[in-house]
Amino acid sequence: MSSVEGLVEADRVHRSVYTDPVIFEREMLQIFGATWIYVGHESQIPADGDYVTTSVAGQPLVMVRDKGEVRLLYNRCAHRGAQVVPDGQGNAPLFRCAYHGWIFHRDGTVRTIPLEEGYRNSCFGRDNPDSNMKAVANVAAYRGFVFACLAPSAPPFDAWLRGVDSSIDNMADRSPEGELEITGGVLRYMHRCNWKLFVENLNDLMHPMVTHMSSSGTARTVAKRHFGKDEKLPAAIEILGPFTSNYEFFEEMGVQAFPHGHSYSGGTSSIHSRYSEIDEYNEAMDAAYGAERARAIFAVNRHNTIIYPSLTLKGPIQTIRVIKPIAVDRTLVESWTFRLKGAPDALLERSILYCNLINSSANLVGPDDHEAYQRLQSGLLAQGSDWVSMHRHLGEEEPNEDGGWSANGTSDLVFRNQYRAWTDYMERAL
Amino acid sequence: MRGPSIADVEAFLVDEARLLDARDWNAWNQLFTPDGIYWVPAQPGQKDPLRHVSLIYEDALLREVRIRRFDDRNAFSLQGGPRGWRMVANVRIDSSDPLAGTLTASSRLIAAEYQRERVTRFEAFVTHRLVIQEGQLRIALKRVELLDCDAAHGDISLYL
Repeated sequence: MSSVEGLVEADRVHRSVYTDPVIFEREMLQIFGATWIYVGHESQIPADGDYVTTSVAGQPLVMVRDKGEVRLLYNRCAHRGAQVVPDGQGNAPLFRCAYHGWIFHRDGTVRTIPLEEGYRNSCFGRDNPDSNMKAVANVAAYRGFVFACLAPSAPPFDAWLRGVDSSIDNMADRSPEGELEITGGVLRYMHRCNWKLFVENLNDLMHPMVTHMSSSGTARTVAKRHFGKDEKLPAAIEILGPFTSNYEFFEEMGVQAFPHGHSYSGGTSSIHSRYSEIDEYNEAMDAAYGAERARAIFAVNRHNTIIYPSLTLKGPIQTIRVIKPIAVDRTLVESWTFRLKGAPDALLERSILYCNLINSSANLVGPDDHEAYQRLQSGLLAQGSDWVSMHRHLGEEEPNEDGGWSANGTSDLVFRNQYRAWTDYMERAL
Repeated sequence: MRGPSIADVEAFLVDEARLLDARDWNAWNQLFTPDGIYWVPAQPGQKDPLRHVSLIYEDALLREVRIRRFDDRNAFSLQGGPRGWRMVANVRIDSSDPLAGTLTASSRLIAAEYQRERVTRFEAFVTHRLVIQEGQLRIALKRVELLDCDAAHGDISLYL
């Protein structure tokens, strides 16, 4: 294993962190294999026996509801190692391996071993826990969002999540019932870039007005042709337009950074804060919380929250993007949408529209981001300079009220903060 | 009253594909009715375009944005000019209502998109809901269900 010493400085990072396959392997072990990684949402498995396959660091897992509990198993037969549950979701009383017919309970314990007496002279067999599908060492959930840490010793979950737990709260609180339900399918977008380029971009507020001019700017132009100044705009235009807000708008949004690499941008305003009101929804929220509390929930309007390294979320539009690194230059990004329980369908329809327009690989916004990541991935092969800048507004961050740091929206604070966590993870003795 | 023949429909679909091959986006867009929809679902057999994500679900306004963007120098992901071709086959009229002037046709599509040393191939089940307006066939809905619509995808830059 190569050392990461000398690759991260206070204000710049060595290009090899994005291009070196050895560093990527180390990240899978030291970061994705050793801290809290998002694996799914409890609403995906509401009933006993419901399961959904998932993965962490390329390893197949299955999340299953067993006697009301959410369990997470390595999706591997104890016998010869075959993946037991095929990719997808469903409901099953037991899991049966397709190869030699071993059968497991939903908690992973082995139930049936064909011709079991053949193991009589060995230590293998139903009495030996090595014959079970193994449970993941650490599983924790916050308001339905399930995280796993594969390593035996995990950072204390609540402390780890501090600072960005409030972004999950705000998304769930936007439901009149205080609960979210994942629904509406998933868009899976394969990116030809290092995972960190995607994660860094979400709170890079210097790029939207440049990268997205051709989509957002064009949407504004087309809207001007069809709609008067004070006319209500279609939801698609309300969604696309704000990406090309000016620098001042994004600077004022601000960024907040927290220990363990977490961050969010926006707070009281974001690109989502000027969507049309939906009266029926506002009434449901007032009835559930009282007008004052409902207003306080809506007053929190964040842009992107990064729960480093695997989960990013947008509370005001109820979408998440999940980062699954595949190789040093391949990253799968999954976009999921949520229904706010008790809210009218119009909210879900807006979330779906947002995902179609922004996160689909066939649409106009995501592909321009992807283009930037690919240019980074190829540009970083150039030997003209070994260093990538994170210098903006260096040293100007201030402590915030939640134990983190606050800065101007176009500060590189978020990147510097991510690489502090990255270095800690990478240098830690497991 | 006789509706369009299979030969009429086949010719229409081939002409439509040729317009896309020629990047004549505006002429292609004019084949749609004013409320016509271009839809690339994200789930096999997907019925609901509003409460389930799609790769693309575009009305006239969104097609106008996309088509203008094709000519935008700042559309960075389109630099290098993706080009594509489409082959339409197995055309069938699934249902028709000559009195209402509507019909549904299904076909199979093989298409390819080329950009920067890379060809992406697409295979799709295509459904056209067509209406006759002023004696011409017009598209009320074009639904392109990719064979691998629920798989992970890279960029899909062109209309299929």
